[in-house]
Amino acid sequence: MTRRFRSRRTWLALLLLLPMLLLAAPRGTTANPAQRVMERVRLAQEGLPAWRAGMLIDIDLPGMKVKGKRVGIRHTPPDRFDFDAKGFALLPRKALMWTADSLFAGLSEPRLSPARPGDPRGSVRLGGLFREDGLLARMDYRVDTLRWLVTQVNTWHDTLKAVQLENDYIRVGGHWLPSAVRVDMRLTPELQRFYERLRATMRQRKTPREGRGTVRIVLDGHRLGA
Amino acid sequence: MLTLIQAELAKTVRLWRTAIGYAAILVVVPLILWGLAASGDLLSSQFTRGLEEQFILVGDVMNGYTASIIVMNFLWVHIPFLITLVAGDILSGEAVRGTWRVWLIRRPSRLQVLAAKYVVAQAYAFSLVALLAVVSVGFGLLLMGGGDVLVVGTEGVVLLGESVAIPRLLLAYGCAGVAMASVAALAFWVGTLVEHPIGPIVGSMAILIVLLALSNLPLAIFDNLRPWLFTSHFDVWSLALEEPLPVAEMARSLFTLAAWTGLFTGAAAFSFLRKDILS
Repeated sequence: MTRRFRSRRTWLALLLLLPMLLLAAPRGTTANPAQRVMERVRLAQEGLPAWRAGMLIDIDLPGMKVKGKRVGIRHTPPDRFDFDAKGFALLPRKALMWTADSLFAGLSEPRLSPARPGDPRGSVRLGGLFREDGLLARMDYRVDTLRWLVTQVNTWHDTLKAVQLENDYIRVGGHWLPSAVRVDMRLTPELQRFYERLRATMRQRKTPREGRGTVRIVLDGHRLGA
Repeated sequence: MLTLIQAELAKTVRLWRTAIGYAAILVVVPLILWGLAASGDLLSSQFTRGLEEQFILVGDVMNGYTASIIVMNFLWVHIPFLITLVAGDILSGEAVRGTWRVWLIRRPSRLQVLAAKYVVAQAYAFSLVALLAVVSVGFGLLLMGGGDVLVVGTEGVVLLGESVAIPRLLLAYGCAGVAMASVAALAFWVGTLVEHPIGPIVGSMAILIVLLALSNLPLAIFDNLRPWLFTSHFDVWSLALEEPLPVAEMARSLFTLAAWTGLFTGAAAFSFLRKDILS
């Protein structure tokens, strides 16, 4: 009898908990926990005002060197970025992925996996597939569930890691804004084609064919609503 | 010796041939810079084609410094030609005018005469490079303003900040001066071998063109020969714009150029000191 009573109490608690869970879940989410995480990241960026910052860019890629280039950035939500540089500047597109839409664009078959050893507390791993350069890339995101921020993105082509992006954030006026970016990437076919197109001089040009490089961006002087 | 150099300098400056080099730079370089300023957008887009997929391009590639670097490609054939006009004529001109006998039968010595003429020939080569630098950078900045410099080097693309670009450009023009000194020395040497000014001009240019072809031909058979040719090191100025600065490679190129300059100068002295001025 007591056992039956306990079972009823459990069922009752579960019945009460279900509407609460449904209410707590963000609008438009599906049952897929991975999609729910993506939605939470999107929601965390809602209400972000326009912001402005300065960027110090260092590029050390095979065949491309840029040292200490200063560029101003202005972000107007949802997805507009404006840049302002004295003279000429090259900004790697892969290093400027902060909005949820740009991070998860084209991602299919999302699935959640547990955090890896060494991942910060409150992290989860989100995986999926992405078609890039005619290749099917395997994506792996590290999401900080305490702040709902994507702190790492890995792109794999077969067993080869093509890109690793790491984002750090700073809290400004109650909003999390990017403070540092580090991209570790391989020489892409586009860049290789670009180098091969350049006019050869008499001196032997070492056309970069392979190798990895890094892009580092440090953001400072953040201002909201600018 | 100083009086000799001054006299030689005064004589050289008065020649039309000397003015041609300066006039060519003063006319052609601003014209090219104006053209680059007018069609800079097109050139920029052509250059950056293929980068847009990976990079967001902010600003314009073309500016005064970048245009100056483009103009430095004149250092392959055009500036050498202008140098041979004067450096080749400086000795053979005396022969054609028949003034050697008057000059060389009294003091100063042959070696002093040769040294004075050599100094003037080299000064002319360096002055042409200096004028090219002043006109290119000056007009370039006036027409297009300053900014970062996008350089295509041996290791790929390098973006030099404006503060780094100015000393690097100065270094590049200095290196170009060393390369042009070898051309002046070559023309000077060929000038000791002939009796007519056309000879050293045509002869030096023929040697330059043949050696430049050998330096540029992508044939494996010339791979062992190429590093020894002074024309293979003409582009030493482009190394001054690379990041990081390839000091060892630059030193090797500058040493090769200096060695050839010394060799041509020695050959000129050897030939001139044994020159028969009586026949």
